[in-house]
Amino acid sequence: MQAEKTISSIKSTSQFASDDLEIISELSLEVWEIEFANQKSLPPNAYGRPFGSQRQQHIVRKKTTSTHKLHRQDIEGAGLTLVMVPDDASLGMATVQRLQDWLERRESEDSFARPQLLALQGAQIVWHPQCVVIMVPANRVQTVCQAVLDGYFYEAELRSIEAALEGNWENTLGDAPLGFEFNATAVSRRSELAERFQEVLKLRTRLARLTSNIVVPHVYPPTLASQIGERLRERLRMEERLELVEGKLEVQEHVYEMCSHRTSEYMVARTGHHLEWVIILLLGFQTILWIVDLLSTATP
Amino acid sequence: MNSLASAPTISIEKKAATRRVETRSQEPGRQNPKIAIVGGGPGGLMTAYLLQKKAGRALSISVFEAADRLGGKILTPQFKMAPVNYEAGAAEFYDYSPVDEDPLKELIQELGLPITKMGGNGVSLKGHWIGNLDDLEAHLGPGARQQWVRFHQQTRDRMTPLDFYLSGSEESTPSPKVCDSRDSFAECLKSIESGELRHFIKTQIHSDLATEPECTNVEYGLQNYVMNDPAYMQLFGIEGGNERLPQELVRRTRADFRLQHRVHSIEKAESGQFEICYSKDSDKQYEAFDYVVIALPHDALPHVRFEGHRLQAAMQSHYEHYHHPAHYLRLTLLFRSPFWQGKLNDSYCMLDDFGGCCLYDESSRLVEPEFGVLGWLLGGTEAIEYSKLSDSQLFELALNSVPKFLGDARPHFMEGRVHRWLNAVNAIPGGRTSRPIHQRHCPEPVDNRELYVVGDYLYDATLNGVLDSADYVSSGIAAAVHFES
Repeated sequence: MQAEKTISSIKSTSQFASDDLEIISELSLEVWEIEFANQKSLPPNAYGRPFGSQRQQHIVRKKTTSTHKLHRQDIEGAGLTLVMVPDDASLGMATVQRLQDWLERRESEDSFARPQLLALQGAQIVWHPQCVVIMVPANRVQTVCQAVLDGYFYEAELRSIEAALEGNWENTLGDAPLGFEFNATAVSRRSELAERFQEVLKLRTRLARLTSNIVVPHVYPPTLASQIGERLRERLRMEERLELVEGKLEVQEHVYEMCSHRTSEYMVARTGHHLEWVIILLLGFQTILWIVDLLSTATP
Repeated sequence: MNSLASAPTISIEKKAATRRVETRSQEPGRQNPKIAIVGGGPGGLMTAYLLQKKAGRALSISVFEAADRLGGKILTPQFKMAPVNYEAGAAEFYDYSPVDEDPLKELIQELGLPITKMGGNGVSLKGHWIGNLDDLEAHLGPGARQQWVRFHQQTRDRMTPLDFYLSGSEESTPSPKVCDSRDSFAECLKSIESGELRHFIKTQIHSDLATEPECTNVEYGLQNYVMNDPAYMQLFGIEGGNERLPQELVRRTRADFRLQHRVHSIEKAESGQFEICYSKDSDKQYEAFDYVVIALPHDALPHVRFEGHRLQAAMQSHYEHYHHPAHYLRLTLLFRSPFWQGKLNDSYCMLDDFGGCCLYDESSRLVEPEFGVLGWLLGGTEAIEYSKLSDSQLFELALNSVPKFLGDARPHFMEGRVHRWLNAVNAIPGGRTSRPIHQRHCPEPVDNRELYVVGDYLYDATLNGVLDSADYVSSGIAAAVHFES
């Protein structure tokens, strides 16, 4: 990134103009649209080194623009927006602060996604689920961006698992009685229960693969990347959240395990019941035939 | 190394012709064992608390403290110009729980004291901020980066986290050596080619070492280096001040705390009890006890006369074996606001001013501090040299040493405090050769087996070591009184 400082002709004052939808900056901001690709081969516009399990995750810079104006719709896309602020001695920190305030303005009181400011070893990072703001000396851009984006990816994955678990609760509570007693009316729901159990197991698999990227030993001597990673994990409470997710996942797994046991037991019992009736019918038929045979031989 | 000739001697004095002896054992119906603890610092208080827990019966515990307060090196006073606390003594606690059990942390949690984590990696070297390997490479070159990584790997091979955890205990075992253990730590640092990197590492550890690398052994030097690695140890403080620890110990211990009571001599009487001569103001008194625990700092041992040839010789030998004094000097400055917030984000960093010191951001322990507090911790010969300056001279030097990137400190300065801790710790805790654990705590086990010693200098010069020491002694006394009952 070029540490470009352009005094915009639009603005003649040192005050920022911003409202809920738009913010105007004196400094020229570099805006990256980021996607995360999960594939073995290196995609075009890949940024930095591959990461993740088996090095199959890639950071892709879809688009890069320079602008003095940032609109809410620029950051509300599906991927992540990275806003690079020039490392300017007089205006840099103020720009970062204004961006943080602007990102926070639209968040409701119930929102857990409040922007957080990390100031670490000369880097200023504002983290938000949709938009990350970075101000860092030019010679540290690659290191900081890679560390932030790695951390972002894992946090987004954790958030996705948390959301999936929350979405499952209604179904889990509705299916829980079947863990105690399975009856004829529930037979038609077997495939549905099996699907839900598979979903829960998929979440377990995703969590298992994610854990080694969150519970990471301290690196010493530290690099800037390792320090940013540790600080992000600490600030975003990823280890604690991991523990909570483990607990919730265990409950849902347990419900569906019980359901699968009850289902199997019921089906085995029902099949056995049917077989019994078949045998009874066959024995009855045999008995009737024997009586008929007996009667036919007995009459003169 | 101090010579025997220069070491103060613990002399024998003849008994006074007349004295008033209080021997409560002569009182009818006395059953509780009487225990005297000489020293009201962390060692004495922990011993008293643990004795009470372990004894399983009532004890009569008396704690003699010459000063007007309890707590020793754990001290959290307040500024005059603002109701703001600062740490004047022990700055932090060492958290060994990443490696194994941490009895000190468990004790603090048992006492219900909340803790805050502390951490810091930065070193200010000739005005350059080095917070990580990337900064080191930018300042000193890629060669220095490789050398640091290599040095750290060699250190980890030399001393694993478990070795570090067990050091000072009898369970520690020798491991493959990078340097000969008879060498000083300075010799070990010579394996680093880059002089600037050596200076960086010395600066990083100097305030913990409290002495010069050539004055301490490889083992102790490496311990103070690996302390910076979170895999070995982490740091924490107690919310509201570290002095809450001794205060809570006092609150929960039923003992007779005798402040401003100086102990002059200890002697084994024919009755089998120990006669302690003590005074408050100038009035000397005598009292007999069944057990005595000497929980004094090492440099205070010569102030007590141990009477009887065997005891005197044993305590002399004990004193000389652990006589490797090290020194600290603490400066703490109060500012109108924490003007460095956003630039210094850690609990502390290292400066190469004052020969290498630790700069604490004491305000970082608070949630939204109104005032700012910075503390400087100097060690070694610099602590001695700078102690000779006046307080105002020290404040000037401290203000000049604040790194420029944090801002100008002078306009914000309100008040300063100085605490001089000369000879307060040991440069080679545990001595040149480790003594068996019982001998450390019971220097004269033949005729004076009821006299024990507790101290951080017997282990690793830390509060964790003091607790280990107190734990050992309290277990021994508790077993003895239980057996007697």
